[in-house]
Amino acid sequence: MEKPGNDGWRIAHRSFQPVGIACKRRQLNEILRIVGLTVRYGTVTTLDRLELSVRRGELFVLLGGSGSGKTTLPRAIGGFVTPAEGSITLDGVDFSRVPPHRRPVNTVFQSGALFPHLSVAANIGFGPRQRGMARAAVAARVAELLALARLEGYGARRPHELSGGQQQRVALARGLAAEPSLLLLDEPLSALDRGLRAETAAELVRLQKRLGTTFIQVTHDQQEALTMADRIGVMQAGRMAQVGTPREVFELPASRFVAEFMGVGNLWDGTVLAGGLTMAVPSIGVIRLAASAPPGPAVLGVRAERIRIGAIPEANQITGVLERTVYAGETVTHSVRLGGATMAQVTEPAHGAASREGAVTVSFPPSACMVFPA
Amino acid sequence: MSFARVLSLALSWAWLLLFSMLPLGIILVIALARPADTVPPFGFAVDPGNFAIAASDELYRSAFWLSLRTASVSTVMCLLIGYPMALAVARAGERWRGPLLLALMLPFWTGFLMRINAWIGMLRDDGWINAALTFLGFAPVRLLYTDTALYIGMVYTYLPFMVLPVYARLAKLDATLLEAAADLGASPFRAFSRVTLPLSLPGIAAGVALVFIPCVGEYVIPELLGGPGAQLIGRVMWEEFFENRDWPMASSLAWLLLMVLVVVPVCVRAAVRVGRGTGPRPR
Repeated sequence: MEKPGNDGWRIAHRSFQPVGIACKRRQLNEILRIVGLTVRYGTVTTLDRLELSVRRGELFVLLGGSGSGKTTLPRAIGGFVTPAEGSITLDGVDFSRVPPHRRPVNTVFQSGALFPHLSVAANIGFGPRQRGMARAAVAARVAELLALARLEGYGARRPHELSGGQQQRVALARGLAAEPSLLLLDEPLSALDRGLRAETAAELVRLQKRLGTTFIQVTHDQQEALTMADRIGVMQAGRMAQVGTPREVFELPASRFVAEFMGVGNLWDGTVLAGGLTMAVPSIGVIRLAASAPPGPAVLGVRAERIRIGAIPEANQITGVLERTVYAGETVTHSVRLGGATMAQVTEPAHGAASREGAVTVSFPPSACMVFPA
Repeated sequence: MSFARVLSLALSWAWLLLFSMLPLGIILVIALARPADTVPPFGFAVDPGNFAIAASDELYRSAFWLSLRTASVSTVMCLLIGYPMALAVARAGERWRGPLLLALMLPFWTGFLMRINAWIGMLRDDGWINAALTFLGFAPVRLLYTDTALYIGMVYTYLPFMVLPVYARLAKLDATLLEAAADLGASPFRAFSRVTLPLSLPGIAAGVALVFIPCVGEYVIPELLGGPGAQLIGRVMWEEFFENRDWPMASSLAWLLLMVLVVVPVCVRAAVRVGRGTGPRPR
């Protein structure tokens, strides 16, 4: 295997050219391939034979809870943890054992990790400077990025003199300054308050599309993943539970875990009956499915917002007792006891929702049913 | 203002007044007095002549100069040895830091004079070091009462005062900053010179002040370990006080030394502030 020499990376980094146009042409090209990647901390395995392929120019979001390995993966790509096994190949070159300062990858750290003793301009210019760019060229590049981050005139300030949002933009500009093949973003929005988050997310996506740089972004927030990603990789216990477009992951979760993570409110254990188009669920009854599933034990998933209160013809109808209603602003969620310990979560728009209590019938169409392996 | 606040402020001011300002005032009064064959050995006067002599006499000037030079060299040596030590402790694993810091401070459990005397035993012509050298087949070397012994004593005594403030600063350094530097293409050496070192400057400044100031006035170490040529200002003052019984001269020397020691840290602080203000710009 070809070993990436120091000079190879330096040359790669010196060629500061706009790559956006070339990227569109090769949209489906693979830029990053990870094979059998295993990372262990002592006896704990945080990444377990992980496989991943990231396409050139896409915004790939790693979504996972704590302990899923979603923080370890970008650290392994950035070079801050050494994998026990497996390879990380970027543009055909395996650099899983190359030290971080020789990798053509940059990271936007969750905390920002701006150098407090350096000005904003020196922070942004740090990367190009370390990669051996001439002073004048660095200054021009810094000016360009300050404009990109809408921070003109802030170059001479110190990081602590900026707001949280501005600091985040400096961190992003610093990460982009050396034109990395790949930019890793570790929860870039988590430090921002709610109002600023949506705006910054949209800005980040616009910027990513404009530059055409491949982004791998880590988040634990499914909403953030759905709104920003070209593709999402849902992580579970050090592996990829599912990789797909936001629509695929949201509408067709591959497993009970992904369904739960993507906010499918009702998951009932049951058995798919012979023929595959009906499913028996204890204390609910027999449910009709829209798509055929292999007979045997399975999990039925139905989103709370796909269930209606009231009897709808052609739909699965179940009677139960409404026990409690939780108001959440735009929506209300009812908890309905269907029998025994089995509950149904039913979400409806809060606006105009009648106040309900007592015995109710809940309905959901067969098309709302998702079946997962038990 | 609450009573507790008044009390605590009054206490600290009283302490300062009683044990800092008052002695300084007394020394100043004596410095302006004239020597006399009385008890105490001076007669009240307002005579700045002592200061003029203290500042101009060749003996005192060379003593000042030698003290400043010895303190500077000792401080630089403490920095060169202490910085890597501080870095090593700061980078050591969580459970090693405590024991390492303890080892660093362990000598303080024993009295200062005892430890210096122990060094005499090691450095003597027939001491442990020369015994070891002879055993290994080397010729013995003269160590005690030389500048080498003086610097060994100085560095040995004041090293912890350099290590601790530098360590405190390095321990607070966010490790993510070093990852960020590496991520942006800085080799470990450049990450150190561009990030770790500049961010530890305040610790270095504190360590330099903590080592330099007591080193300048050091009396015991040059007296016990240094040669007859090591006429540092502390020794000269002691002689003026106790051998020549010229209290006014000794007091003026003490005041002059104080002036020097106040000026130096002020300059260091100003330098650090300037260094911060014009920190590395994009180049």
